[in-house]
Amino acid sequence: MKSWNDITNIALIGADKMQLTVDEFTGELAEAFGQINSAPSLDKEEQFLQLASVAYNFRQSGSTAITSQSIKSSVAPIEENGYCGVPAVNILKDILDENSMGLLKIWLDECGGKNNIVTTEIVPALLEVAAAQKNLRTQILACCGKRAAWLAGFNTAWNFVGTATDDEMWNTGTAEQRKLVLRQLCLTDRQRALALLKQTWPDENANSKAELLKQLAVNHGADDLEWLESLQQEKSQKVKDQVLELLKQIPESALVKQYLQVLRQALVLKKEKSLLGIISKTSLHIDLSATVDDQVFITGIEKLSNKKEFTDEEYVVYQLLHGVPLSFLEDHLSLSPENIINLFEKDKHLKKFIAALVLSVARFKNERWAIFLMQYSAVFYLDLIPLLPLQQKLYYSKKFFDQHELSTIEYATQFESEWDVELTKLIFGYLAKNPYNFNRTFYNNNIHLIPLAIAGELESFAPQEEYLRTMWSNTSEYILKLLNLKSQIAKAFI
Amino acid sequence: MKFTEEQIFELAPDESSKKAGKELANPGKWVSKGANDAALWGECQGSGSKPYRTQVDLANLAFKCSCPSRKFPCKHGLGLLLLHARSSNLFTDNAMPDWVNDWISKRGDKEEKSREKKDKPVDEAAQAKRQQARHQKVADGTAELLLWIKDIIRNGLLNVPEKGAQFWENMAKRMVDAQAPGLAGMIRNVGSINFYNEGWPGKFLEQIIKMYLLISGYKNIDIIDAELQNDIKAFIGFTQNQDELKAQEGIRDEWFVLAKQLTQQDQLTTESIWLYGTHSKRTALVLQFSVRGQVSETSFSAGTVIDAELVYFKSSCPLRALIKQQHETKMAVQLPGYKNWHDVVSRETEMNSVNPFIDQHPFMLDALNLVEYNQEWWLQDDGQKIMRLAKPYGNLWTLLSISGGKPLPMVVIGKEDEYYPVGVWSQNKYTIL
Repeated sequence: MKSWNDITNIALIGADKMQLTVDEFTGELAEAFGQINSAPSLDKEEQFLQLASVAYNFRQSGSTAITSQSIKSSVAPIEENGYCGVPAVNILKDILDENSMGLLKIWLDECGGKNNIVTTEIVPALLEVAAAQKNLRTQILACCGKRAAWLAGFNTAWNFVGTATDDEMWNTGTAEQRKLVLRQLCLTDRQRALALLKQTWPDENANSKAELLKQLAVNHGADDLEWLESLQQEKSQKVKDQVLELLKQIPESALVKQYLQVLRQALVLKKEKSLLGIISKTSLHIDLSATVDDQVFITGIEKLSNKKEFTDEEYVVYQLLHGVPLSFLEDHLSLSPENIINLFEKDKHLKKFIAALVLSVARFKNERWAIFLMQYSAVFYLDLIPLLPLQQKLYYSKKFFDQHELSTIEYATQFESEWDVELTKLIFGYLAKNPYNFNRTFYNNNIHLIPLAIAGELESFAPQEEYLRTMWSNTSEYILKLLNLKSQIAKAFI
Repeated sequence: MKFTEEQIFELAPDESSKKAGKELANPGKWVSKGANDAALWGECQGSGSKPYRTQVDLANLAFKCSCPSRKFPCKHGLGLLLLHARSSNLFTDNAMPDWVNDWISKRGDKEEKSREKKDKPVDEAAQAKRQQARHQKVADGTAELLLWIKDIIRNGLLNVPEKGAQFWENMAKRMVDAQAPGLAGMIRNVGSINFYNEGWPGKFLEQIIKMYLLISGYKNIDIIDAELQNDIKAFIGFTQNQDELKAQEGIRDEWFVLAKQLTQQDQLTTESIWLYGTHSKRTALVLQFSVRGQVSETSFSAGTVIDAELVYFKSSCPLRALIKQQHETKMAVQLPGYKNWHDVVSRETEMNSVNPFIDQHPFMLDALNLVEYNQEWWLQDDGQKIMRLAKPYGNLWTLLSISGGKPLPMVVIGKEDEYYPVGVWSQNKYTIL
């Protein structure tokens, strides 16, 4: 309304400096202006206030909606999956209120497992969670149905939702989005992941190359070899280091083969007679007298020992040993894994090389040797727990819990499946004694690992000390609440 | 009546009560529990030796609990209601124990007695003297306020943002002295305008105009229409006697609770309950005030329908009302509303023609669609007319997700050219926004 804008402008300047004129009004407003302006009893401020009052009422009474023929409204596509029921939605709301990512993961698994989707009013809240929790994105998007992608089209904060294809995201996405696309493709279609990376490689800068190469560490193998080896000529040291790191994890790489070549000469199995030739004993001799190709030392192998228990020669062998897969020892020495472990453990000079075996198992994610080392070694290697099958994880975690309480709990939180009741009891026994070190966030994040059967036994972990007992009592109440929600999730999807 | 969880959470006084209520919606926490059409009751084992006795009047939605909590409703009331909503089959006992029976019958008696209560004899001469003295104070105060407003208008609004807090507070205090608390509140509101926001001069001028109209209206009160006199007096700060209002005949209807809004200033909580008469087609605003520790008269949950008798405050365009008597609460069903924005603005024009002080009003529209246009959000009717969505609006994404780009029946609150949705019907369910 022009008159109202004129009135506001004059009000800003002040009625003392500028007055309204009849030209600013039309029709009935002009008539009112005439009447007010000719009233002799009114000073100029009051004339202004009266004119403004009439105009304000005119403005209020004459307000209309705008015609908008040109707006093309987009309609969300029809969903194919069914919506989950009211009880499931109510539990989801409780979980979101509690901000429990552990419970949300269980809920999403159940919802996805039933091919259900959430009711529309919850979709924005879940997209907000997905924006912050990258690890839950795939599950959340699966449960939000087509509404999520439609909604994300209006909000740039949700541009992680897959409205664009992988190719589009790769070519036009942010650095984070491109890394995500590559990481996901590495898991589902590695060939395509490599093809995408090769396609844009010449245009990437050094930082981006190094970051993208890090994503290839997931699920990589011999298929990547040819291309990775060709990258050893890259100019950037950062990129070369990353390439080297990846090549070191591929047993078929020339680099690992080079290490194997040196080790074949350096490790010699000899039969020795003792006790006047009555007993024969097999022993492993380490001899690095032959000249080692200098190429080996440009791959990160140190020439000089920085550990007092190793000579320089031994240290080189130690490094090479954890750079090769342990199947090499089986072939080279023609011994079973049990015998190889015994050979190293029983010889006081070789014992120090056991750590290299453990490091090799971890580097090549050698589950077979992880089991052998757990089975035949007298020493417990905590770092191998993640490589074991679930039953063995549980078995060794329980067996050595008393010696490595904190580390076992740390590894246990990475298990893919629920703990069994015995392990939970051991863990809770420790947690109850240290309630200040494990707050609600710990239980919130790990509730998916805690079995429901522990609910009835929480009181039995109450510590003797009064101050700890009160704290544990409060914590128990909270754990019960989470367990209660956990039990309701399964029921809600029946 | 069985409430939805959403409606129960609407009753919670704060987030912590909501959370605590959820924890108590667990059968293990209740020593006993029962329900019938009139009430819901239960005994909850708390930290004391005796369990807390919790009762809910389902007809008039009221709570009572023996716990020491100062919140209303307390977590026990919410927990019991929530447990009933989730598992009503657990409430097998339907014979009210004495302690529930007493409370329910006392509530009925109290309402009956308050209706029967006779007015004390009034000393009319003293009352007239008091009224004359107040009239004089208000007249003097408003004359001073007019000079203050004229000063602002003469010098221009450009200098206004530089005025310190004292400038507004001094005049507000003067209006309190002049027994015009309504004007005092308006001055404080003007002083609290954010002068960094675009468009502040327009908002400022609107408030100044309203004050000027009230001053002029009060000066000429004797020649103004009787109903408008009530509006002017109400804005200045004269109160209407609620007992007298309640003594009048009200409008009995099934009132749909469109929305409930809470605002807090210092220790005072104001609960605004927007209602729509399903038969009378009238809107009403019930205000409930409570200070910390005080209990609201009744609880309301948006999306329900209350069978009640309402009495409107005297006004040229009645909106604010009192609940004279409440009979029953039930679930709402979808009702026909305004067809389009043209009908809404026509109604607004009608109201503005009799009362220039009209503020926000609720409107039910049959079909509105949330659309984006020129990087702003609008509400589009089925005739392709759009009205701006008031900013800030915190439920934009929820509403957009519910609608999926399709028009839905909506309840909006607003005035002139800006409105915000407070509830939406989708798949026969009223969702509170």
